[in-house]
Amino acid sequence: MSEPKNKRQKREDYRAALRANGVTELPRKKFYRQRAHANPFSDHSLIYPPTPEQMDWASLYPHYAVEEPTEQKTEAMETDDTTGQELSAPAIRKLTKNVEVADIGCGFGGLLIALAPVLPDTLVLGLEIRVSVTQFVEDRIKALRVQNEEQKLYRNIAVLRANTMKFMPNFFTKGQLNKIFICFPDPHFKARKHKQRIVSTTLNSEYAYVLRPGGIVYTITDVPDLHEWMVGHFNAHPAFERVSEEEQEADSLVEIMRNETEEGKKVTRHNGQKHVALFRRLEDPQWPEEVSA
Amino acid sequence: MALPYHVLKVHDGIIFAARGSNIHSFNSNFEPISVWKYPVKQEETNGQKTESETPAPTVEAEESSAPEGPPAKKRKTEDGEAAAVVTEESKEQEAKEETTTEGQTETKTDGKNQQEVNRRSRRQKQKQKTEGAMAKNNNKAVLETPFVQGMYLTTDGRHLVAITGADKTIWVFEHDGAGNLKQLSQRAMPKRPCALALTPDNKTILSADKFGDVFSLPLLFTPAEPTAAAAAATTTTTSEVATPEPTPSAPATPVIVPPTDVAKAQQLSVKPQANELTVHTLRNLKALENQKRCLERQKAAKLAAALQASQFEHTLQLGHVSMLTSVAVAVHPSHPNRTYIITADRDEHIRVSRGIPQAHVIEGFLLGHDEFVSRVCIPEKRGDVLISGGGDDDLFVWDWVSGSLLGKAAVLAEVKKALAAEEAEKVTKVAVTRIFDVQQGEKTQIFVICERIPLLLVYTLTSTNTLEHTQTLSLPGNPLDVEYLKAESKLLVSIDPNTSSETQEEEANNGGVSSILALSSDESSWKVAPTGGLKVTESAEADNSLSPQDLQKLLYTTESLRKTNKDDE
Repeated sequence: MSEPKNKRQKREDYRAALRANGVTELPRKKFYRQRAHANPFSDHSLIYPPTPEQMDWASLYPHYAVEEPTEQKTEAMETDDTTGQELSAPAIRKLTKNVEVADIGCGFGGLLIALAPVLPDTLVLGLEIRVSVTQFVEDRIKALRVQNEEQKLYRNIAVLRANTMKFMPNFFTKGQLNKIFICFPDPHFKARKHKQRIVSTTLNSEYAYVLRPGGIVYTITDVPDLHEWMVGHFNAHPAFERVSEEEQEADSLVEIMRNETEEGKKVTRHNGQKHVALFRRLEDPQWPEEVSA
Repeated sequence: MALPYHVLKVHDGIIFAARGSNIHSFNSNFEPISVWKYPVKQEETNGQKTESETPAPTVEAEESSAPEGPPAKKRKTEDGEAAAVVTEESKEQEAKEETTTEGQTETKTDGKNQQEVNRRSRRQKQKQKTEGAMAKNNNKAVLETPFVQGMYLTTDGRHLVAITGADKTIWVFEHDGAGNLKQLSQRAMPKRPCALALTPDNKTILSADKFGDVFSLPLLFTPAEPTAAAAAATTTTTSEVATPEPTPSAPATPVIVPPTDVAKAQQLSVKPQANELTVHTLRNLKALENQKRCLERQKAAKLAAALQASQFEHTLQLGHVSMLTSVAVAVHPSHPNRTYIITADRDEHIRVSRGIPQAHVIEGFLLGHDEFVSRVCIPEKRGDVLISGGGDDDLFVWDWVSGSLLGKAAVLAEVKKALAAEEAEKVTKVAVTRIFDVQQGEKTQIFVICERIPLLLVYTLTSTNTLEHTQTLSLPGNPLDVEYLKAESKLLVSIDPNTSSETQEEEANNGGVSSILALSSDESSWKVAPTGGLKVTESAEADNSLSPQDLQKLLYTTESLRKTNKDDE
């Protein structure tokens, strides 16, 4: 990093202080800035569970954990653990309900925070690949939970650092999700970077896997060509159909997606265009042999 | 340096053994039948080229149209030998990226173009160096040797399919049943194939590549306009070695893009992805203008390239965002009409998808590995069980259709047990390179090879689906591959002779270093048969083009899949 030392120092001091004081005030973005792009193909030192069953959701949503007094928090298993350990690892606390909404590339968490009161009975998870940004959202949610303790708000949202392009099946079981948000993804303008785009023919199969039939993928972008790309790829995928314009505009979450994400606000400031497209997960087709039989 | 026979394949008493870039065939007594020699000096894939007379302008167009393009990913060696380099960082490179063609100064190219190309090549090389690629240059030369990476037989044994690494090529041969191979086609894939599988009907090849994609290709195909070279290659009589003559001209590597890319190239908009509303700074606006100009020129070039390249049909079936290591087509006994595609990757996943034409449906994942998966094996008679191995200390046994883990079987622990104390101490991890099943009557035996471990582990898959270790066999050198000669109940294990522990005296007595061992079994255990192996003698088989270190790098690639430098940002 070419950052001047004092800046980094300030950032570290700030975050340490924030943690020491117990998070009560909202974190300030300037101490969490990070380069806007991350290479999804490199081996980040990510923490992810070997299987969804071994995911420690209770540490993210402590208010939804099944009461088990003796248990303490267990960190999600690291990849370089010796084999067999996960079998002997302490039982993982279950949640009373599963995560059903995922915001892939949640950025600074604007959408999560807007969704929290709108979907009070649904667990919403933000996934973000950048460390600092994830940390910011985490601190932000912590502060909001403390500030709104009486109303019991923001207990249903959480954030996780993850590379969804590689490890989504490690977090979610088949058909677990009801909604996936893909908001203002990295457009990857260069043709040779298109493989890094979050929407692609092959990745759509994974979205179809974690979504239950009838589930919706929400996409929004300010880049017309990326919009066309996403529409093209979802339309071409047999597991998805585009949601009609009327139905799209009737969905109250679309308005939130348009206006509440940090990127969305920025595009508004610059008078940019916003392109929205929703796609419904269809039922899996019958096996070919059953069709002919 | 003696080159080992590093890949084996057996069909009905015929043994195919790949050695370096060549494929030898033997009968069951190891009498040589024929050799297919990799067409050295031949410009890569010119067998498929339809426009070999006119590529020079294309080269020029591509070069000039992408001035701010990425540094060269592939590069021809100075002497113009057919070879390509895939840099380590190439993971993020996009599928239809053009191969640059510098260094390939051909007779057809006029002098001006030549200069231009050379100049660019120099510049790009410099760029590579400044980017710190210097340290990798040594590796590059090594990786350029197109070793056979895998061989696959159709169930009827009539066709042999092979992949060579560095040139990303899939070769299809016709097998006459007596060990003679006739080269039918060669197809250079967009990305390096890591593993292949054939569909049960023997009509389709599934190619799993380094970038995580699985393409399907018809087994048999005829190039649209075969060139003289391709014709020569296909008309070579079956009784002799198929060695196509080097062709005089093939300056440009054909750029292989999926067929849809032709359409894509045609539609390629002359306006860039961003527009004035999405770009907010002056400098970015300037860049945008620049981009627009470039795109216009690129469009023409891309269209030409795409048209030229879409010479063979290949369809994207599914993909991981991770390097694939193994692919299998499976049929579960409960539904004999359903086929599944099983893919394993470097990021610990094993994915179960439906077969073609519904490969977009993911049925499930087999999750639980903590390290890369390098091999999956579905025993022939036990289609409900899948055994997987890789960088973990154990083998995993799965009920793959339900996705549940049935059990594990120790590998590292068994290896440590079998090695001498000080050796065992050094071995802290294993990388499984082969999991091979042999059916003897009712008994399903599983043979496991780990990289650089001179042992063969033998397990038995019981009727209750547990994998029991039954034997560890010490070998005179590192095993590379294992195959089974059914008719004679002989197990063949190819050995890297350079790691042989045989003394010179033994070598002299045996008439050479053991290269392929034949193992026979009595009721309970396997042992090396005193006769019936294949020996090589150092002098006759020396290959000077490779240093021992280089050869090791080519032969032992599995451990490098382990994640070490985790880049954190």
